[in-house]
Amino acid sequence: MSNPLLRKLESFVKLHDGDVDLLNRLVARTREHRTGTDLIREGDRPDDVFLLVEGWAYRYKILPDGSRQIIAYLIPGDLCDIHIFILKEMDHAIGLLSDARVASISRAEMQQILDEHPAIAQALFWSTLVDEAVLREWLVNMGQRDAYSRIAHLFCEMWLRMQQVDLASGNEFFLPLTQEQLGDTIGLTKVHVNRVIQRMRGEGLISLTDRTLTIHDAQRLREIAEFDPNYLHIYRRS
Amino acid sequence: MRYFFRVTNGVRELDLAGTELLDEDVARREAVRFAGELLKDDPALLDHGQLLVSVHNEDRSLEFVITVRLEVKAI
Repeated sequence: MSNPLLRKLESFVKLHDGDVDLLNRLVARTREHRTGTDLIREGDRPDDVFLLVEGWAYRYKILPDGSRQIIAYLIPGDLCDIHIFILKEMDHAIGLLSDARVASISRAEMQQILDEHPAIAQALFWSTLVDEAVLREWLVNMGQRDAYSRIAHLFCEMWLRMQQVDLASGNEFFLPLTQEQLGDTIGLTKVHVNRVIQRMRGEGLISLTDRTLTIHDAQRLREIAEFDPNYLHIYRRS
Repeated sequence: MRYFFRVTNGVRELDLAGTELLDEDVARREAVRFAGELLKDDPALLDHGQLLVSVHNEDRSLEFVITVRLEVKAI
């Protein structure tokens, strides 16, 4: 299995052998986590930086009335914030959407990586900027697009992000989201999500099983989503 | 419990699969929010008639309809 963090960072910056060795070491030391559990809760004091090696995680907040907003998805190769340990407490929770393997990077280790591996450091800063850009695009998605376009946009984005780390073979990829979780992400009732998915199926755009999304008509899906991947800042190194 | 949501606006749209919801109260709230979301996305739904969101449970012991209509009082 390829190293998703390596795939992601080397698309942005030229890595040296020492860098590659370090990145391979980072993903070798993982712990297993079960779906539905949390890596860290709102209010907890953050120590280590989480690196997702296998599976999907998500950032979320629960409101006092029990409703949930999902703020971001973390896929293999994603880190939970390089300098998370600067904060005294978490302002959101990070949980697992599927069974997962997660590596933890201590504050000391992270500082050493940034000090001794400038190429990796630059790539990590780039990935932080991309995370912020994704959040901005999600704001636009929530505020301005209709239900059909919103879901189409999310599917286009996750497909590209999974391709970036070699986890999309052809036109299908792992998508461990329930319709309720989708609704909590894009601000729609699960009834509405259900209706949009049925419509997409009916129009031959996608197939969606329990944990796999297959995109049958990528061009049409991108048109519906008005999808422009510029915010993902995927620069192909020549 | 499984609830079935049907949207009617000129052409009738069937919900074949249904949605799993906790109870009747949740189904009512979801239906109202759903109608609101449909109208927010497409105000033109009320141009030529009304929007209906009809809901029933599996054995039809519960059935309700949300009707949204635009009435012009003067032109």
